[in-house]
Amino acid sequence: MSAYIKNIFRSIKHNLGKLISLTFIAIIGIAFVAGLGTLSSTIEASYSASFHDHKVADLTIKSTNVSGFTEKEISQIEETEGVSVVSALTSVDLALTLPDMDEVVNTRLYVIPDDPMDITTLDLVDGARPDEPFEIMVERHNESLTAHEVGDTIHVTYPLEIFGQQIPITFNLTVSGIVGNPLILLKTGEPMLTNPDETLNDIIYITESSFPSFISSLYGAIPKTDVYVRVTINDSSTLTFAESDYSYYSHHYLDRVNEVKERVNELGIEAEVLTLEQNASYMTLGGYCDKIDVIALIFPLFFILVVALVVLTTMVRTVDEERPQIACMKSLGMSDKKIVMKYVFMALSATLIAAGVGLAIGLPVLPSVIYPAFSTLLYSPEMVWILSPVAGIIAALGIILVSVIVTVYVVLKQLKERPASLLLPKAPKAGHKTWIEKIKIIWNHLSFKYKSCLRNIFRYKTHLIMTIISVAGSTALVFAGLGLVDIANALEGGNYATLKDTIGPIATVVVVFALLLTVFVVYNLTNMNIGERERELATLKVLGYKDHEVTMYIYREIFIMAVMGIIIGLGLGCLLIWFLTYYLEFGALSDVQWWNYIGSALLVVAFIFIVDALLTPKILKIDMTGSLKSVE
Amino acid sequence: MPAICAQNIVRSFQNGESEIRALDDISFEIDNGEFTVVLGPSGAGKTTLLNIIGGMDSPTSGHLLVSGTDIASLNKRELTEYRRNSVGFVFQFYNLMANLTAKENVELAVEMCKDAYSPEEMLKKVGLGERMNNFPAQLSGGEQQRVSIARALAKNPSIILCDEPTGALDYQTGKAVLKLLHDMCREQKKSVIIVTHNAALKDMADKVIHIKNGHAEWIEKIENPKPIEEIEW
Repeated sequence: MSAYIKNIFRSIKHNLGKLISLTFIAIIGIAFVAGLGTLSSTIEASYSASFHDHKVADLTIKSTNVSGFTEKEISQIEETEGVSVVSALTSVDLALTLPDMDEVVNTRLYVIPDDPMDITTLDLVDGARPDEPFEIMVERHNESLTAHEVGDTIHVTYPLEIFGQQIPITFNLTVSGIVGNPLILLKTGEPMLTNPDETLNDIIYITESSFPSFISSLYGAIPKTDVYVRVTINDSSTLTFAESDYSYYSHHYLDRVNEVKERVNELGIEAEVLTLEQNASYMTLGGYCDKIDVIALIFPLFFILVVALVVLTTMVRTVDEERPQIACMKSLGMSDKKIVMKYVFMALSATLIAAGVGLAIGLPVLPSVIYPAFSTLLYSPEMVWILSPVAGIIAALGIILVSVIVTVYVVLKQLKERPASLLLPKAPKAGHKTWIEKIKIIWNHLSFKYKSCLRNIFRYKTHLIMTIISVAGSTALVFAGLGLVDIANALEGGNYATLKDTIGPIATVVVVFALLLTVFVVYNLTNMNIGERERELATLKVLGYKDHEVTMYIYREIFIMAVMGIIIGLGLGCLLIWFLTYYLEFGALSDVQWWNYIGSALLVVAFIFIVDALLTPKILKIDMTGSLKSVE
Repeated sequence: MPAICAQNIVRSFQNGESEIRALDDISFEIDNGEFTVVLGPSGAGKTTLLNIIGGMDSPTSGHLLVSGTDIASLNKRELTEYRRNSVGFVFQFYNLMANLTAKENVELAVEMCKDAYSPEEMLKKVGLGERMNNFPAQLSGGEQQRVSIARALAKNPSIILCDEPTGALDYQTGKAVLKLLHDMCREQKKSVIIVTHNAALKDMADKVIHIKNGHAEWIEKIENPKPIEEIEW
């Protein structure tokens, strides 16, 4: 192995702690973005698979004529190009009054064929299909639908029109089975077709033969009010979902269905043609997927920025510490390119590993954690995990690219110095007056400690900028994370239970990530700061400064910078929340509780305390006698 | 009572299996207001001795009485207190804070002392009245060393310790700095200890401690110290 390669591996070994933490941060970022990016596809795929397996009606054609569809009309529909299967049935939404009570029971009545339908097949959850007159099946319960059990009797009173007179007749119907309709999934309730503001309290399925025969004899044949239609999407309707390769949320599907819908409309039948876009469950799901996609689009930008900052500080610190080595390599005549490559290799290996691990973890794990939350809102089919790595790959590439660019920049900057001056330790920056000193009213009233502190803050401008950006960034993320929970909590109605459950884990990851960022960047920056100012600190010790006075000399600066960062961060956080609520179309900045502003600031401060605690031994260990001997 | 009384001081360092004795049973006395030069080649143990007198290090064994207190027995916190109130340092490389002006550098040391002098007065005395608001980078080496002398004196300590104070200065500047140190100490009745390898400086001292291999080889009392102007090296 060449000495060059050996040197690279030694450096990696020496900086292993730093590189591992860097990799760790990048893994969290990539995993989060990748997982979030594949979440909506997974949700769509899972429900699409269920729709496909249940052969749901692509079109529901509802007659607007009192006597329903004629046989001719049904066959006209069947012969329309693109239509593969049709099935006619009867459904009616009624507001029924219970006997002796004022209460209205919103009931939907389906009269279905005796044999199980081959369109929109019902799942028999409990019991059996009816085989006696007055036996029925009911839809499984939800917040609005009454919970029935097999064997229950339901009394339905309906004003029958007999010889021109309305005579209320009560039917006693027996529940023989409970079913699940693949298109009635919302646990919050199914809206009535006749009045979408009302939800249904009962959905009753009666088979044609168990339909009380005297009613049939009164009315003649029961009018067919609905025609369910399956559309040929890919000439592949017999394939399984995985093979058919289409999502019910794809443009391909919707375009095809709307095409056929137009053709049916052109038949001139008195009817209204509905697609899945008029189905409440389908649309609610689609809405959530859109919102998740927005989050998956906004957060990666932040995450790439964050990882870039972490890489920047890590590489600045590494290159700083390896100054003598770089000088040595340079004085031995090694080309700049080769020296740069060494550090690029280090950054690249860390981020490439992070990309691999992050994608491998995030893609399967995040959806399987968040998907179950959807079962609080809808009857969820089994999850069908789908690989949709685009967002994750973009984030990973972004992070890799930014890391390499940052590293090249940092090393090239160092290499601009002559080898002779590189061999010396980095000289402390000369002091100078700051602009604040011109504001005499403030400056003259500051204690000596704060004067020195402020001057130091503006002395190391890159540290100042990096600290402010990272503290601001993480404050903004912590604030946004906690704020989203507040907003979800402020939302009315159970409709948002899922949103809360979905936002919970997302917010946690965002907050944890943001705090890790603070720890990481502030640790790196403070560590470098201590390294560069070892002599100053040793001098303070010699002058008789006590331990806490010496550490405060460094920490006072961090706190002031952190406070600036936090103030900017809260502003950024408000902006981020505003942006999220605007695009997610729910909640508002005003939903964020006042204590969240203080809470997120305190959380960031607490983590800065942790960093300080971690670095205190390093400051206290500085050797007075050794540090003072070194050359100027 | 002497200002400083060192009794059988040993300072050894563990180097793997072997033990190195930087100071090997060294004893001496320094009186109040005495100008002492500690002389010896590099590696003789001068700096180790200075570190111990300065409270930056503790001896392995022996006693060091400063104004009656045995600082060899002080703990870390007490040593900090001792450095703060009783010792003024002047280093070869000045060790000024780069981000503080001359005046602020003196203030930094004075801020926490009990009976300190005014930084401005002290800077005027060392001849930097006009340059008080300059940063170290804007001062020459000699000027920087004057700031560090002002910093040491302003604390009003009982001992001033100087580690090769002229080591980084040219001949004339070095002489001027030494004269300043000498004059200030006479004026303020401070015990000054200068550590150096420059044998020429011994002529200006009241007492010279010759150190070699960690021993005080010879303690020389000089009855008539020469004025600095007459010393040459």
